[in-house]
Amino acid sequence: MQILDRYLKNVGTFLPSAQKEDILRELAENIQSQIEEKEGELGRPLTDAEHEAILKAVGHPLVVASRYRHDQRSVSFGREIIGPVLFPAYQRVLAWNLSVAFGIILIVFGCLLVAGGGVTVQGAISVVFYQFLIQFSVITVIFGLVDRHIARHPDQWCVRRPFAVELGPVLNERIERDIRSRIAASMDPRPVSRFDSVAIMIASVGALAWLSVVQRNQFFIFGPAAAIIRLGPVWNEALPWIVAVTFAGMIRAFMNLLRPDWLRFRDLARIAINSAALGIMVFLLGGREWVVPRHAGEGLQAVSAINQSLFYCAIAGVVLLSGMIVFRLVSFIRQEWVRAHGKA
Amino acid sequence: MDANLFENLRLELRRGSLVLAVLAQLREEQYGYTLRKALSERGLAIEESTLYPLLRRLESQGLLVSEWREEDKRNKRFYRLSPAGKVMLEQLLAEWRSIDRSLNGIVKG
Repeated sequence: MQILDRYLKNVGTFLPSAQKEDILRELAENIQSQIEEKEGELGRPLTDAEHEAILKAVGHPLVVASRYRHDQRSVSFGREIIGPVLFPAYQRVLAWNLSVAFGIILIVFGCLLVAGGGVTVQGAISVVFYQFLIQFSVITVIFGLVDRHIARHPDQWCVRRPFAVELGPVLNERIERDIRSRIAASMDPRPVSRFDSVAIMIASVGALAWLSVVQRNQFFIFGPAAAIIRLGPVWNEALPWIVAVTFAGMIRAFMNLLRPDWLRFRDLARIAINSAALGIMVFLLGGREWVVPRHAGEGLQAVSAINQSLFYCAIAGVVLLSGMIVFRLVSFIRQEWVRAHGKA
Repeated sequence: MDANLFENLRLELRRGSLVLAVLAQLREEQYGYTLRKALSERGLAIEESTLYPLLRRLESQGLLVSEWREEDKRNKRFYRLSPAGKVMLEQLLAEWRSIDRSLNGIVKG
């Protein structure tokens, strides 16, 4: 039974691992006994709503799990902010967020150190401290509000979405409607605009022409500075891939010009093209010498300054592009899920 | 405010009695679900999320023993008093009777 399995899984998430299997086995057996007795009384299988009513009577997964834990830790500032019921979830979320935040800080500072950026110990400590303060405050406030809500309204929770805070039927309905409309909008069932497809094709042709010209005359990229600097050799290696990705974009636009209803093709092709572009950017990032002096030993300071600026731009580009790919991938998976299940 | 306070004090009062009731009820072997029903039928309803952790605690304290056994084509965990549990139950019952006598005396003035 899907709903019972999901409920037990939710309880199990917060149980001590050593006893988890045993506790869940007994809990499942008890719930099953209740279901069988109720079915015996009614002389028919229970409906989903009746299953939910039984699970609701057993209790919120967090509350049920907390009764089995000996750990009664809580967060208190004068009075209790987060009680023992929510504490393990709070601890887990805070640890995860801080790990991600500090991981990103480490990578950024690592890149800056390698690139010779001005990184000081004081700067690093202040960034870490502010991150900790922000994450700790935000997560503690959120969990504190949820804890208060659970304490005041222990019955206001939904078996199918036990970790969604119930805000009352009217507000929930509005939120649900809003979420549904957002999902519907993000599914974008309208055909791909032909204007967009043509615009992308024209822009791609322009970009290819510009790349071809720049290869022969770098004045079109550097202006008068082309007398002292030129593109580094790394660009020659990346160029065929840049051209290929631009072509792929053109083909995608051309296909959607012919078949504007191929939305899944558009989504998948965009994810693939963006991923390829990300690969090229990462490859270029490893090159470092994007700009080199036209004559050995000349304009070294300018070259170094340009390369340093390009390095930061490239890091920002990689981060933005990665975010875009993740966003598109998540949207695509969500749309596929909605298509498959027919509702949000 | 008063209702909340009463509820808290009531729960506090019941908490100690529950251990006694569970131990007394498990003089005969039962599994969790029937135990809860039996307690409820005798006027001592107890939440599942309270009863099962309590059974585990009493078992870890050596007052109960349990075993998984098949009944009605399903595996169930049966609990009963351990020898130490029997001794403890007698001691607790004696204590409870003593408290009851004292309280009655105090309440009646």
